[in-house]
Amino acid sequence: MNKVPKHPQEDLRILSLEDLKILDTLPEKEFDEITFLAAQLCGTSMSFISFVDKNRQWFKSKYGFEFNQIPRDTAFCSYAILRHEPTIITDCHADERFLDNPLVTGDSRIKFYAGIPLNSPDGLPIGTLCVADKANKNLSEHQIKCLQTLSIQVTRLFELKIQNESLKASTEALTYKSIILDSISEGIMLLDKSGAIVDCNPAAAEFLGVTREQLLGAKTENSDWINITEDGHNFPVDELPTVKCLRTAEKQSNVVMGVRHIFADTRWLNINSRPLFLHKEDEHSHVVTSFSDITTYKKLQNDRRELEGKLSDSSRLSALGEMAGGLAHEINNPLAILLGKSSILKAKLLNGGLTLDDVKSFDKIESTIERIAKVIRGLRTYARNADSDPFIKGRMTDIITDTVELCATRFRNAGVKFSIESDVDIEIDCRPSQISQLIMNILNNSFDAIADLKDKWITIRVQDYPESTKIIFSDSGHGIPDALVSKIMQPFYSTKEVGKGMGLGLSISKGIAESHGGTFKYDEQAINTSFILVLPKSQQQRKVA
Amino acid sequence: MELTGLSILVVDDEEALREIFVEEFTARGAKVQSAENGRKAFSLLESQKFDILFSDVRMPGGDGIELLKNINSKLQYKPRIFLCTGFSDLKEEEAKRLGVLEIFPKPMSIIKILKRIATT
Repeated sequence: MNKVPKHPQEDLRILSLEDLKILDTLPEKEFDEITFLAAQLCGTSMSFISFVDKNRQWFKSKYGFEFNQIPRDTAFCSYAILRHEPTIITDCHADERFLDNPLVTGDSRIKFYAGIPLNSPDGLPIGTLCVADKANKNLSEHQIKCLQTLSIQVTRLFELKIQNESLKASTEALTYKSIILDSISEGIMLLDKSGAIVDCNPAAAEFLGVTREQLLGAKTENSDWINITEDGHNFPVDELPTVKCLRTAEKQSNVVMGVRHIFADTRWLNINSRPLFLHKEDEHSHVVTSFSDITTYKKLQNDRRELEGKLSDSSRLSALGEMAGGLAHEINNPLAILLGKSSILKAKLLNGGLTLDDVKSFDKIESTIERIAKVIRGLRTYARNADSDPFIKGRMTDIITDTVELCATRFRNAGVKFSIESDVDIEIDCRPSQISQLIMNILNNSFDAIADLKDKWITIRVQDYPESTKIIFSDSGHGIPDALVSKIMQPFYSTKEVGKGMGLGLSISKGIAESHGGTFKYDEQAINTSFILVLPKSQQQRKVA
Repeated sequence: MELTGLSILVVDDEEALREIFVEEFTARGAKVQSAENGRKAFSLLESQKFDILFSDVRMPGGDGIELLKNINSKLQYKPRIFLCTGFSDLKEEEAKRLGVLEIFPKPMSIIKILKRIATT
């Protein structure tokens, strides 16, 4: 028997057939009606809708034939799919290709065969619509034309079947999407260009305290609630994310807005709006607005901020407590000088012994008064709660000197050598009190860390950069162990003994640096313990950025 | 308020204050020397005899408390001791135990100090 040649695109053809997912499916009326019609039209005893698989020919529909499939090698259709034109064999017994074909020689004794190739939707021949008979036959032009028309109908059935499948899949996907939309706690609304609500999910309706039906067609500028901004003002209508998105076709992200219902507490929303371009690419047709209720989160955030404020106050005061002794000394010593000088001068005045030479004593009095004023200035700068202070121009070296004044005696008494190195006088936009607190925190830490060392020094270096200033705090300590480096900036982390510190100094310092748009880091490269503070010179540029 | 014949050692890290005390005590007839910290004061106390020690407490390079301890443990004699401090780290009882006659808080009245020293 001749081996049937393969189709030139055999692999693709098989893939195409498999994609159709028709092999080994149950008989279907639509296909059976076509094979019935084909047999009637051609006056044959048999008709098939057959598919040529890798090694077999399988019949989706058969008329007048008992088997469901036959080996590919014995199939007439294997030849029929190789040609575009109909394959018509009027006498199989006379055709040497089929001389030893069991369908020709066996019980079926087929003498006549006519097959029209059936193409898959992507145009590859996957099977045939064919007719056969045990008698010698032929087909008229008209019959061939009808058979071809029927074969086109079969192809349409394939296409319909595929469309049906994909429709089923997308309906299912849509159902899932709608289940998801219905189940999420985030509210979602679809609005048309006029700002009217086209659709929404249950969460959106529930949040607004109405039914979905009541919401449809409504506008978001409903009068039952008042929209407020984070600082408590009325939310400008033009700035409402939905309204702004409708107007500008620009995405609005994470807008926080309070919704104050009459007789109810304010609820806080995080809102996102984005434009939809359903009809035209350059003109938005709708806006999708989604929102989540962040009331609880916002409350927690406020509580936290309040707590942090209190902690920072108490840490500042506790640091102040540590300094109190030094401070008293700092002020009482110059007062003692004033009192002493004054009593000496008074006595001289009374017994007429006052001379020009005593001007020196008056000079001393003046410089001593200035010394006290400096301490008070430092204290005032340090002790106030400056969280909401405006940013003002401050000279870095002045802030440092004023602050250091507060602990100068403490350093001197403990034998700590202190120095400031500064190239130029740098002026930056800052909250001087906060910077002073930051410096004090670091100085206090350094002081405690080096108290037991033989070599005791603390140095502050101020460096000038075009946009920023870098302040390096170093002390004679030998650095922080690697294992602790990641912890030191955490609140309440302290290596000091109980009662000596709350472990807030560095974390608060970091917070202060960040609130200035700067950074505060431990310098892991330095040999001695060093912290680096970088602050931008201008807060103006920061806002623009 | 004559201090004539008394030898006084003034100890304070604040130069202006040392000068004031030295001037006031000297003006009333005392023989006065001064030191800027506890350690220097102690070597003076060891090398010569003083009737009165008038000292600050907080000082770099040897504070007043260390000085008192050294006097109690190492010195052959005991001067009359007065402290003058801006912020006392020392409780009164503790000071008495260490042999302090009185602690004058800064800012101090010179007259009061002179009277007190003159009557001991």
